[in-house]
Amino acid sequence: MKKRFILWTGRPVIISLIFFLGLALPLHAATEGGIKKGVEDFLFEKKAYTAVEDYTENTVFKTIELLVQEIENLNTAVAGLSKSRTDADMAKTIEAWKGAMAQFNRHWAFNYGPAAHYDFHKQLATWPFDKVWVDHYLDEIEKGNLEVTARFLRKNKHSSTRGLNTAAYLLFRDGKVRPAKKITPAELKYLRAVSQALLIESVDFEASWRGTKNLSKEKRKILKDAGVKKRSSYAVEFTNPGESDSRYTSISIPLQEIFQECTTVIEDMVAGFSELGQVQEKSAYWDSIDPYADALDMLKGVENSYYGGVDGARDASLSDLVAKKNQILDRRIKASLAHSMERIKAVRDLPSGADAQTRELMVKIAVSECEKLFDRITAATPLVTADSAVKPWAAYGR
Amino acid sequence: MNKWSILYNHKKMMFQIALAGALALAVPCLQTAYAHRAIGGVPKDLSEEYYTGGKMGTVFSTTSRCMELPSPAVSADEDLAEKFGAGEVIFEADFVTDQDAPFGGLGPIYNNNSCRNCHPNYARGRRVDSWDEQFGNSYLAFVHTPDGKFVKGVKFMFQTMASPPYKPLGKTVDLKWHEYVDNHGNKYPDGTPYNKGKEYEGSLIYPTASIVDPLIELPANHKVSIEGTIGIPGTGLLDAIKDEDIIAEYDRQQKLEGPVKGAIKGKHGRWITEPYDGEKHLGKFTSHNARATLQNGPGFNGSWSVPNITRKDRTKLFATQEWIDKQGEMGLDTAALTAHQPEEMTQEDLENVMIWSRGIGIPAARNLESPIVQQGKKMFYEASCQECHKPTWTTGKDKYIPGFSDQKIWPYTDLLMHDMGKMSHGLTKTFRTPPLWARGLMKNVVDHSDMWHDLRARDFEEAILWHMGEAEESREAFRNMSAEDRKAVIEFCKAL
Amino acid sequence: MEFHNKDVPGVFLFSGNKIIKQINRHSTGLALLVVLFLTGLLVPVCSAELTTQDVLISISDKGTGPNLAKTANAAAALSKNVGQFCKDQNSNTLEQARTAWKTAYLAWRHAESFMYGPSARLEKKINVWPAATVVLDVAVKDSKLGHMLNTADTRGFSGLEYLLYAKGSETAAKARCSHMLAITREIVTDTKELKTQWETKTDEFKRAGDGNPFLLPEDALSLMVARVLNVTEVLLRDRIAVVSNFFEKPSRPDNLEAWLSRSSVLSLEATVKGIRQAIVGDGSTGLTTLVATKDGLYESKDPKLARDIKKQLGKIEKTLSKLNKIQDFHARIKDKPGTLKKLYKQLNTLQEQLVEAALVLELDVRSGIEIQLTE
Repeated sequence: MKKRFILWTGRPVIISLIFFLGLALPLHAATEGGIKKGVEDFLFEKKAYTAVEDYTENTVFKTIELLVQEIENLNTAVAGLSKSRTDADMAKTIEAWKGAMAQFNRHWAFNYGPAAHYDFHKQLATWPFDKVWVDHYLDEIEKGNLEVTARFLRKNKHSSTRGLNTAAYLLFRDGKVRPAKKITPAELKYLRAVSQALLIESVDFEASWRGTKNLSKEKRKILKDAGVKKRSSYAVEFTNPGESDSRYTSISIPLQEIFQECTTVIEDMVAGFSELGQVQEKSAYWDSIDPYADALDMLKGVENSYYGGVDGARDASLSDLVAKKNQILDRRIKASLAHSMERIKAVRDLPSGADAQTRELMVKIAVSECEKLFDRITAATPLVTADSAVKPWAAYGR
Repeated sequence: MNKWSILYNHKKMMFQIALAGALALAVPCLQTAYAHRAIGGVPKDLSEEYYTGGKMGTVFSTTSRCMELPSPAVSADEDLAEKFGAGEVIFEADFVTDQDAPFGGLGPIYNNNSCRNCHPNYARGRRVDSWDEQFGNSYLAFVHTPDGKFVKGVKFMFQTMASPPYKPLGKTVDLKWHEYVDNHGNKYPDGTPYNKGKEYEGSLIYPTASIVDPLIELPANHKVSIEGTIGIPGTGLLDAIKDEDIIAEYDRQQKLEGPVKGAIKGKHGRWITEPYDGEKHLGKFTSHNARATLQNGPGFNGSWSVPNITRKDRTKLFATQEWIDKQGEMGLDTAALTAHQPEEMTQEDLENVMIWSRGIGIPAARNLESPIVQQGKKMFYEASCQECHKPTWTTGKDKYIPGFSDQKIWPYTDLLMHDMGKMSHGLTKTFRTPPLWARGLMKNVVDHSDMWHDLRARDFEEAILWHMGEAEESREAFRNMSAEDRKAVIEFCKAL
Repeated sequence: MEFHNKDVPGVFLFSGNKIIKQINRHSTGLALLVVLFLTGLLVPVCSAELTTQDVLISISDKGTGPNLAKTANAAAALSKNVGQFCKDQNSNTLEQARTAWKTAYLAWRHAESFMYGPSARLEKKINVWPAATVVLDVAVKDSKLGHMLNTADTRGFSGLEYLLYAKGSETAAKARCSHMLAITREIVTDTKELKTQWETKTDEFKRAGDGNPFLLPEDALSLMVARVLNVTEVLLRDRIAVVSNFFEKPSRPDNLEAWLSRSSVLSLEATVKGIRQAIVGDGSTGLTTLVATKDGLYESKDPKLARDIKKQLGKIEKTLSKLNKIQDFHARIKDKPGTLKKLYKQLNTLQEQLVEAALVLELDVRSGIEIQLTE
């Protein structure tokens, strides 16, 4: 094991380990047990840093990058639809909207930090959207009183008149895709402004994590043209806790952010999902187009946070940290993630004629699985974040 | 306890989505962002000063969610915890115009469509350059005469939004920021410029505001003053402070030599008779002590007045007759504006909102034992800052959150009004001393450190430098400190 | 029900795989033919793999129901014999009462693994170890101290054992007999209640997954596995570690459960038999078969684990059989505190294997630490 450790580790780490063992440890741990604990703590802390770095790079950055990409697709599709208004264009737009919505829902698991500071979740998909205002604007466009643009929508104090849910209102009716020809020119103009605003805001979201200067030239231009202020990189502070220019005092705090948000996503999703136990008579305009996809993507976001990376490209992860402390719990969390998703799919796949009782039971089962997942992640949280190796109480001088 | 157990009676989740008004979600849109919980645990051997909100009001967290966590007093009570969660959803909600929609009933005239917009991440709003900034812009505009009376035809919060087809009282508010140079050329006696090393070295700024395209005629001598919102955490604990204790503090200050003489009289006089109990209570909420208790205070009224969401105990629109008349003059039907308003928020929802707003925990103080913070504390006292930023209080009985009773809390405010000098005069000359607790976590929570009633101070240094008037001596004491001591004072403030 | 007794798809499938492996060694071509043949043959069998529901039905019909009935019947016989002794106190009737106690107690211990769900409350009432012998000595002689005999540690099987086996039990005073009768009445009532409770809940258990109350069959199975894990924990912690005091001499032989009646090892055997019955069942419809044949959503089936569990049970039984041959076990523990060390290790391994089985089956069985961290 020792051999493997040395082989797998780079020189700087070995040097710092030697330093740690040679200088720092004797100060704190004179006993053999103390040294062992010191080494274990050192390794666990290092593992925690790696997990947070990889999470930032491969889960957060990647998810937002994919979100921007999907919104760009939406933007392109809407431009195509605006030109020719064919059902084929409409199909492309719908696919792009679904892709964007899926990526948006996967972001919930990191809705802390910049997302919480600047409400990117509202910028991108306020729910419910304000139909009265949207209809009013459409009316004004129709009358020629309003030239709607992304700037107008973003400056008009109402995120509820833009975002993915507003786009859905323009693309769907009663949960079904609208025929392309039924979409009015005013609606197309509005949709175009909405998708452009979405692009600006999603790129701004990316900027908040990466820092504006680290974006591609094209993305920087989008923000500059929209008059969006430059942002410093939250990721730098997030991955370098304890440094003087980081708002975080130790690696425990970024880990707390991640765990805290994962459980919040599950808890809030479950509260909403429980409503699906009732068979609906008629859909309302504020209803989700696909609540099952929403729920699954929310959980997928949690799964990505837990496993590290995104689907198909996993990396160092929270799972590694949990497993280090309690392998059984780690396996239970993974099983629970799989079960939660499977049970939600089971509700989704119920035949249309399924009776109310069956539906209610299936929803209960799905909710129960998600509650188990919630409990398991809740149990894992202090094991990792309150471990002395990650200095949970550094802010209090402990 | 057995080593192994099993979860077969799946417990009910602590928080559930509350549905405002008469909404019925058949197929909900799944949203999140609510219901955060403290990670748990409390570090060992901390002095009582760390427990800013007392044992039952303090949370130990420094994450970006640290100002939205339920206090231990709430978490320990299942019923309160459930109501807390339900109230939080309403705070987070975006109200919409359609009365039948979830969170419906916005307008017809209003300031904003979500509580959260003005209290970003439950904290104080940030300084903005443009009134049109939606998220985090917490400014309220007061249109008043030079003697502090609101101009006829406008409510105390100037309403710049109206649902179609109605028109608001003004198109927008034009904000301008100006440089200010003090008698010392914005330098410390040791020659160091204010804000040394920062992007805005040597600079202090203050705002002015004007109404763009007012709907009604405003008197020529009208003034527009802007003020930012407060953070929500800790207000429930302040509400639990006894009136007689505040009066005792007032009496103490009157006996002090020097200019510090806190005023107990708020915007509406010393005593406010509350409609819910017919009793007189001391004004202690808002920057002007215009409200006495939370039960008739900022959140209780704000949840009605800001979005104009009517309810059983607020059946009228928050609008002036002049505004309604003006809509009529423009040919709009005003019958709906003067009619009895529908119940857009239930009393149950209101109760939940109140439990939530009272029950949020206040983050614990941090790093109090570090040498620099200790030095800062010493200098803070030497500069007599504590005369107004009264460090500690003991709460009385609290019937709303029983756990908040008899708690020793550390808010660093005397809850009295003070004159901070001519440059800060706005709607009134005096402003309530704001609490300092958790200010050092603003960057974590909402990515800014803006302070002062109009958020002109971009950080602690500027906030201290805007202390003029009654606080001039403390300001001078700070200015005359060594650079290290000035830094230490700031570190102390950040630690609270 | 016939299907579950004999037609075991899991075993068939397993045999099939073995055959394929053997044939493979000789001829790939032949193997291919056989594979094709067997695939066609086995498809219908595979489609009827053992389900969690099947296991629940098997446990219920062959394990829980019969064991609780046996416990209640043995308790009734105990009551009858104690009554006889109190009526006519002689060495014969005493011996009969003692034998009845042993039978009832061993039936009880055998049934331990099946006392889940509503049984937990009664279980604690009936079997608190050790008995408060000092209180019993004093209180049964003085009717004024009768109120002291209401606590659980003066009642149940352990209280009764003391009264039947301790010195002076040959000549039972009136007050002593009165307490013995009270205890046996209570055991009869409680074991009967256990049986009745189970009978009313049997359908819920068998039909687990319909939401009344079990949302999933696995939730019911989790109950049983959690119970077995707790039984192993009690064995390790209370019945072995506390007694043997492996690391701190001297040992505490008086903490050895049922040592007065010289049934300590027998009772350990009874408990382990119960565990076997709960986990392996009839060998074809038990939990181990499920472990060997059922893939989870995250975990994979683990035939080796299933085999290991059975092997481990065999090892434990062998060790117990040797221990059973020791004449005065109570004295042996005093002399050699490490006597139970091997058994301890073997049971510990079994517990770990059962935890692994719970994981493989993706059951909701939580460890104590997980509960503490959540609540």
